[in-house]
Amino acid sequence: MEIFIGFLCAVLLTVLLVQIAKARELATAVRADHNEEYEVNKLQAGMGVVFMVLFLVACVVSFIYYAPYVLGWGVNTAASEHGPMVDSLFNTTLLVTSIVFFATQFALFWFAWQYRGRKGHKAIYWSHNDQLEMVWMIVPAVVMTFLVVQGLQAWNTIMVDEGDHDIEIEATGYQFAWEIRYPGRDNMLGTKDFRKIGGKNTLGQDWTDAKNIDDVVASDIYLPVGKKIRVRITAKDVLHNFYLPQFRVKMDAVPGMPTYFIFTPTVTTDSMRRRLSASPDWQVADKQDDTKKRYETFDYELACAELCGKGHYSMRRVIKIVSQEEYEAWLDKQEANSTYMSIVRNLTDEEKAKGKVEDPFASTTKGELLFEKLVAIKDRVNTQLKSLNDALIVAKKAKNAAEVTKIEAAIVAMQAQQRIARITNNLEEANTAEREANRIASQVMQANLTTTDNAVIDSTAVPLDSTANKIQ
Amino acid sequence: MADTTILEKDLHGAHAHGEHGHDDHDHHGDRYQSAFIDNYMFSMDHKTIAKQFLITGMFWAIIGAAMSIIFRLQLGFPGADMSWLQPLLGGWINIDPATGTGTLSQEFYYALVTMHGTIIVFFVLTAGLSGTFSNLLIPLQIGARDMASPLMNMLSYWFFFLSGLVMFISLFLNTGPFSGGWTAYPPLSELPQASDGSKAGATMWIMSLVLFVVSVLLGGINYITTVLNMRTKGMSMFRLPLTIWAFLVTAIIGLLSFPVLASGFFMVMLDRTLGTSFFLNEIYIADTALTERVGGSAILYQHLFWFLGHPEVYIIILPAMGIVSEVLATHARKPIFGYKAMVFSILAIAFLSFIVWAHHMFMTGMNPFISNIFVIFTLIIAVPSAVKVFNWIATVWGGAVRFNSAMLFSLGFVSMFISGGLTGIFLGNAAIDIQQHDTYFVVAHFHIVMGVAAFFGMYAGVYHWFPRMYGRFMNEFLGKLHFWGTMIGAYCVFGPMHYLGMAGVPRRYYSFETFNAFSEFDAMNQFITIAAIITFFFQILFVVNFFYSIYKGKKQTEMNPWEATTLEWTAPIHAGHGNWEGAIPHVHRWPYDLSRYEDREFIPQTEPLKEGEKDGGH
Amino acid sequence: MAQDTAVKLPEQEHHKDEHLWEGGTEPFKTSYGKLMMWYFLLSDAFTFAGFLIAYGALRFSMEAWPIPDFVFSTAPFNIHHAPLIFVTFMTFVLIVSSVTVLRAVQEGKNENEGGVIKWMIATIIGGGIFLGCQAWEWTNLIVQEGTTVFNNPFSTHVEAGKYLTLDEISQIPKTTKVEETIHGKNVVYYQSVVDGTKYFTKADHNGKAPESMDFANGSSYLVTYHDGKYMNAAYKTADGTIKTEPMGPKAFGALFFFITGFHGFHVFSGLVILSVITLNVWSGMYKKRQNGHEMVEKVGLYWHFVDLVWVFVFLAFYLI
Repeated sequence: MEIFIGFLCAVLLTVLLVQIAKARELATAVRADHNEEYEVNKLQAGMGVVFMVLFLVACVVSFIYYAPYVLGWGVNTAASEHGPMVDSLFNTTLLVTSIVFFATQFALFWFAWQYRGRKGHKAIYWSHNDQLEMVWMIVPAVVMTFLVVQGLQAWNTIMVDEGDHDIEIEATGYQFAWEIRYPGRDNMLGTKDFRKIGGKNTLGQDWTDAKNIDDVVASDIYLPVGKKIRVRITAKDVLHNFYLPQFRVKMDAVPGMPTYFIFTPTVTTDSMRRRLSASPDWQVADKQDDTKKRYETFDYELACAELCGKGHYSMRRVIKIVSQEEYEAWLDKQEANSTYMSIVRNLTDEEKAKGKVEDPFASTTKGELLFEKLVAIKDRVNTQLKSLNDALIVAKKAKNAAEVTKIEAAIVAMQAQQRIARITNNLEEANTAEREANRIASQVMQANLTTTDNAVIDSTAVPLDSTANKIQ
Repeated sequence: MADTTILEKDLHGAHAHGEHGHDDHDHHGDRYQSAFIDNYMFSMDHKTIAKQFLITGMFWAIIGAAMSIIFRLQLGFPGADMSWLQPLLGGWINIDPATGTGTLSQEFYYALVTMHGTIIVFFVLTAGLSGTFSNLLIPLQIGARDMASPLMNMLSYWFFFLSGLVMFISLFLNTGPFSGGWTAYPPLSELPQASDGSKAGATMWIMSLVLFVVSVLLGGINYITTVLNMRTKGMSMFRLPLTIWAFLVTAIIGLLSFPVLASGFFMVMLDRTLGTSFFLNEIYIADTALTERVGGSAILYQHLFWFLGHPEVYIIILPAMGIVSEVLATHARKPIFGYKAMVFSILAIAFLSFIVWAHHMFMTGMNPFISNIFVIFTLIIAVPSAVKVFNWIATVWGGAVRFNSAMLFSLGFVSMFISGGLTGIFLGNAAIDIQQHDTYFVVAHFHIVMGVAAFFGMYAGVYHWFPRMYGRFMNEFLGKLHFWGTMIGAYCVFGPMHYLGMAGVPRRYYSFETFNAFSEFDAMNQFITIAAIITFFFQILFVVNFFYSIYKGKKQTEMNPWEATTLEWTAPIHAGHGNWEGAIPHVHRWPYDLSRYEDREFIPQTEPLKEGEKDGGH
Repeated sequence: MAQDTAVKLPEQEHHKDEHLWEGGTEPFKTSYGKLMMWYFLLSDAFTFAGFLIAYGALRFSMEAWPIPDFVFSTAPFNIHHAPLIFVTFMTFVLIVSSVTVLRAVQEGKNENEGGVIKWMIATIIGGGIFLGCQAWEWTNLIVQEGTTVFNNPFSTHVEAGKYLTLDEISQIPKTTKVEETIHGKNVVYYQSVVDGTKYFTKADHNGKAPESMDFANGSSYLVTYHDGKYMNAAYKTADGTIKTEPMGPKAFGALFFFITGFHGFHVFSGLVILSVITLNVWSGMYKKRQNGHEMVEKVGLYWHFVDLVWVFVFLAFYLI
């Protein structure tokens, strides 16, 4: 209803304006003299100056008003290592173009006012000036050169791929979501083939490639701060684009042609939240959950930036930047979900036959694959650590200070071994870590055996003569 | 309208002037084109064809703008009930059976965005701008009776019409018009499984544009040949008004770049219909691996497309620049400052426009080294553009400016070109483009430079040459109202978009609600939408003014109402076929002798040089 | 206000050719019709350039690409092992037809209608022969060798290997024997029960085994084809893996047929135009115009263009 009324108003307004227009035209036809023209010139030129002033003021005011939202300014500084390069280039260009913008807009409207047609004023026949042309050709050329040099330095630094990245993950876009694959312990992504996509093998991973065994298609995206990350970007169906706004990361995802972007995150999600909390805009209540503040629910987001169909605007993933320790802890949990293990290795024979899944490593007994062994070792070390933590709780309850200190020291030592067990791809190293873990644990356990009878002896603790100690 | 007696005089008087028998070929006796169909529909008179281009262009502009209003409604008021649009859009509005609220379907949102871009870029700003003014002004300003081949000229219009017809029909398809963006990147545009709009809609879209390319080529060949071969005696190249230089160079650019677009489109059609894979490789879609469609490259398409795509934007802006140069000079009562520099700038821009195309492809995964070359050339092209801006401002300086609608729009053009051109400098620098590519910053840039500045050039041309076309004036009050409303409105619509882009908001998003990062701008989006609706209203004022003035506008009583120097004002009001009643005038001086002498406010090109007088310019 | 249109032009000194650009005359001393033909040819050149660039980009992105000597080695009348002979003949004919059209233009300048018609007919015959040859080439590729717009059985090996005999193929695990009659011949092959791959022995179109079962990296092969069926031969690589000959890059067929087809379309339309113009010459239409039969010259330009494009296409597809 309102629309109809609005439309009607527009029509009436048009009719009204046309009538005024006709009337004014008739009026001018009656009085044909130059003074009239000069009056018009004065009015229009004057409006031009007013417009110019309001326009430039609006530019400045809006600039100030919207600055808090601009990525790269205020609390929104880039969260990656190369980000500030992009931002500073933007700012330099902004400075240079702003000067030109204000100068030329001013000149345009001011001259139009100053040289409006009026009584007794004649135009100046000034047709050209070669020196002036030179000046305003060379000055922009010099400025452009400066911008180009700075820009290309930044570009070539950002886009270089020397193979010195710490982690490579793979992002595969499809209509309308992202699949992010982690390379696992071997830090290498296994090969994939689009013809193998089917059923649960959503990426078409080629199981004959051993590198695929530990690869995980993760349901969250965690990345460690301060590490160089190479994202291998591909797509399944149409063009997509891997876009991380806060990191100044953007690259097309093309089916059949992997692209890449390398960046180093420098601000963890938590740090970013803390940083944002300083800004009043972020202290307001969150729109979805008004018990929380806006900065508390902040998360880095992955978006698609190349039109890919009707769901293009909805390809969101959250990316969490965490410390190295948190990252490793998260990877630890993810490992169990390695795609190979869950959709190939751990299927029953029946399921395999039904899904027509071929396991190229079927001949290797369950638990004998390097990956399986490493995971088993890690699990056992984790268990050791857990039992130490349990013991710590007991000791604290018993208010046994000496015991607490001893166990805490053991825990620290154990964590070092846990770390190795979590990330190593080398069986020797893993075994060594486990032996060490056992040793640490046994020291504490032994002592415990002789102290209190409240000690909890974890039945999963590895006994001294376990066969797990033997070299595999 | 058409004075058929001119022709008789012409045939007798023609041979004294050395035109090469052109007149004899195309006229068949003295009953030339008197039937309505010949006179108006299949007219071969360049002035009539110009009007056909203009009015068809205006028709499409209204449709294209209306589409933008609809999708702006979605962006500004995402939750609002759009069920009232159902009578117009039918199945494209999804009505929730429970609440009765209507929402715009996502598929159709993208179809609207695609069609809006295609229609405005090709039908309005290429055909509607070049087609209209090249046709109207080339023969009149160079001193020719008509184009070299009026037949080809007529065909050029009708191919454009046909192209538009096919596109129009595609709007009514069941699966909807094409929705893959006006850039039509494969694989999205080639795989019907990828989107409804990539079904029949995409096929019709391509067919329409192939016909459009034919229209452009037919027109372009004609314009170039006419400008080179049919200038009247004394009209040397450096006595041509800047409009003609602009139209000539535009036609040359089009001649060389549109065929490559056509070749790209042919390959897309082959991929779509014959199962080839020029642009497809390793696709898995709709639960099927397309194992047969391998070996192609989606990036190859982008190279072919942007090889046209970039020159295309100069095809759009150069005629507008030419018009503005002409209008500024005439109404500032001063020569255009630096005529030769302006000519060389046009040539430089034209040449450089062919070697910058991949700045649209910085983020496609091209070898980063190649991007270096394109950054360099892109920032170089800023230099001749800057030179032009400074020259325009210098033209205004020292003038005696007449503020009529045409002049206002020309001044507005300069303002808009400054604003839009400067943001191009950001985008041309690849490292900045990493962040700004495919965001609203790009949308702001190209809209201000094409969607506003080029339109302003077109408006300036229409207001200025309306008397030449219809022997009447457009209403000045409405014209000025139109200007101020559009000037303010356009900055209100596209200014804020810069901030959206700087905040990282991507373009071609149906809704921003999914993302925390992008959903803070509800108020701004509402503002933009409302500004767009108001600005649209001002364009309707223009349309009303236009048609009203054709019939009821103030009559033109003198042949040269603007006191201009160029040849088109030496032909009679309501000139018939053949333009000049007697012999075609000869030219003796450049077109910018305005305010040159104390006692002479302006000197037309046709006036011979006095004893010892030097021709103006270099 | 408006000045009267002046008629008198005061005498001005000019350099000899500068006056060409002063208006009132043709700067390139070329009529508008001829100029238009040049501009049209320029734009058409860019269209072909777009296709040839696509060809270059796709071809050089592929590991394996058919070798022209191997693909184009047949000719009519059952001639085999004649690499590029037939296409050379075709090219020669087209170039000769460019010469004949040049003669026609020359005769036209001398207003010698008889001469024009004679040479135009020669040109049309030449063009017709070219088209006929192209048609044969296409038919041969499609019907005999199974090369189409989306299937290409020509390729080169990307590794060394050895073709398997039928005995060796029967040893491949999880395959069953299949016997079929293809094109009147009894063909035996083995098919995998796991994924349906068919393993054929290597035999040419007539059923003959190759001279040597070994092949080197980079050597050409043609997947045998009969009546819609491709018989991908089985082979063993150096490390013992058993594979079947993969089909060649699809882009080859697509590009070949499309580009030669687009060119052939130009030849065909050229023939139509040549015929129409020849008829017009015969009717004396151009004699009346007294312009040295310029229309013949314009058509001649078009024909030269078609010939020139063919040289580039020939270069791209047959020589590189």
